[in-house]
Amino acid sequence: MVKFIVRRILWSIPVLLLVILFTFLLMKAIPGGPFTQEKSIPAEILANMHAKYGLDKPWYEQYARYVWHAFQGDLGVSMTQKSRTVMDIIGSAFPVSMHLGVQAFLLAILIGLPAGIIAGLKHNTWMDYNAIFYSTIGWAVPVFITGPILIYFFALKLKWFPTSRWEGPEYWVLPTITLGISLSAYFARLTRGSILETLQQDFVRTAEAKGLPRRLVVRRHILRNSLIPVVTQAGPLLGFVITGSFLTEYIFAIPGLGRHYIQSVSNRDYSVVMGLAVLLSAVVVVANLVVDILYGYLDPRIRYE
Amino acid sequence: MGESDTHKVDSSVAYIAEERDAGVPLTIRQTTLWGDVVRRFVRNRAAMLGLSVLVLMVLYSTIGPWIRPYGFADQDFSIAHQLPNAQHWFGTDMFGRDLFVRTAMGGRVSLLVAFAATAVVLVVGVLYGSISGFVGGKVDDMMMRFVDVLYGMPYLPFAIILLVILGSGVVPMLLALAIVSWLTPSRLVRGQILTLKQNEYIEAARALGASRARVVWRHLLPNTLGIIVVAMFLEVPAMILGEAVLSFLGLGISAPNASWGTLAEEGWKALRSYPWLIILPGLFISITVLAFNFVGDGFRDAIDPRTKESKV
Repeated sequence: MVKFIVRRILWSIPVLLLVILFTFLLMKAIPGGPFTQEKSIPAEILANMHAKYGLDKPWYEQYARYVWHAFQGDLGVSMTQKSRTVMDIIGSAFPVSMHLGVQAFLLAILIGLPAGIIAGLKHNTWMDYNAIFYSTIGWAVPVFITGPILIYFFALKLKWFPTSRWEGPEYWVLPTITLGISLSAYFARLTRGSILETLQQDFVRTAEAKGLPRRLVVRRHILRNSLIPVVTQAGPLLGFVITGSFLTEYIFAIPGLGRHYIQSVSNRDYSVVMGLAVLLSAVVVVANLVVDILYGYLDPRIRYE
Repeated sequence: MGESDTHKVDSSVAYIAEERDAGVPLTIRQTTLWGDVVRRFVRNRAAMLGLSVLVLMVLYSTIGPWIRPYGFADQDFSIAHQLPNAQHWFGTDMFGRDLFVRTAMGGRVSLLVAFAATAVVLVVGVLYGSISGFVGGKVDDMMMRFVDVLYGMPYLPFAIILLVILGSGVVPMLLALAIVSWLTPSRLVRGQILTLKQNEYIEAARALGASRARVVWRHLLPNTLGIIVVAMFLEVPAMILGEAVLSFLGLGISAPNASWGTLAEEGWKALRSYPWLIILPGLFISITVLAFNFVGDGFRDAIDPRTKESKV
């Protein structure tokens, strides 16, 4: 197990470096430099500014420099808000996104997991059909439609909650529900599929054949084994959460990573875009690492692959 | 399936006693793989419903703009913000543009982008996956490691960067979506090829001196066709959603052109007073995505009945 974990951790280092490299090259490919503005800057000043930010060096040197600084926690300075470093922005935005994400995730587990389990166990009953209906609708209606509809009814018409921002518990409700619903639909679908697959395994039939009570079969044999695929799907799920939270933050004007990202893209603040992209990639790489290790722990067969 | 199909068969001989044939002596009928697939698909009500909705959507997007006497960019402020009525079946937007026509035009863009991006993704995915799976060894290792690395890059942030590089419009949108989406199909195809490679008939073909290209083209790829079709039906709605998300964020198709995502963005800006403007494109996006899902699930069950969850 230890060998497996060490190997996985070592592998994720080159992955991270390559991801940063690709991001770096993509940012270089954006037409126009960071100092391209409506009025042209004299060539000497431009050269000085390039020298100041190290942009006169060849790309691999710039890359090495970026990585070196990044590992020391320095992602550069915002190009539109000169007084703020990219790290400052992350420091204020990351907790907000994290807060929204965790709340939505909890809500999703609270709804999605039971719905999926019941649907799978009571396959082809009305409960199953309701759960399928819920998860299909939840998946098909995108966040940028549910969000505005919730705002219209619960904020504008009923005035129960504020329409936007992130300043206290009453502000948390609608964004959490918006993101949570779409996540819970995903969970329900995944869990149901996994349960149905487990139900057909030989060991379930054996357990029932030897006369174990249904309750025990469900708890020990079905649930435990069904939850493994749900855990291992958390990797792709994270991408889903990022997309969903970008939209949720945009719609509700929540000062999280997604909103900063979108704003920085439209302000052409490329150092912030780059920093946030690297951060999000790092989060994904680490999440994949954790999922792999969990998978290896839950299902020992994986370790010897 | 028709009688005409029965003679061109060899792959499988099925003994079918249809319920409707009960009482009649058991008939032995030969069916093709695809004949079976079609038969099972047609029986699936959700899938057929989905398929009819899709046909309607495509029809509406194609001929919709022609059956009403309005241009998709014709502005007339005197008739702005109408709800559906006899003149404007879906109402009008803030510039008095007819929404029946605009939604149809949006459908053209959304569906076109989704189909084209899916086609690109499938071609790339199939090529990449089958080369990786078939060649195996070091090459496979390298190619899959590369995919692993790209999996570390989250979908939306990178699609946004790509759009900034490529500019806005239909082709950049299509490319951006394709570039961030080809990983999963190529993994899928590789997995399938690896499994198929173990089969005896591949060994037999090789022993008989078939070239690599022939083994891939004649034996391996036809057997992956099933999962490719299923992947296609699941990929298209993901593309529709992806395009809509990017356009909603103001990064995709821009005025006066419209996609369903652009229409949703316009609706979002007018939400306070005119919620209909976001509900309408929302309905079209959701219904289309649902329909594709039903058809995709139906195909999967029809191609491989084992995956169909039997009664437990």
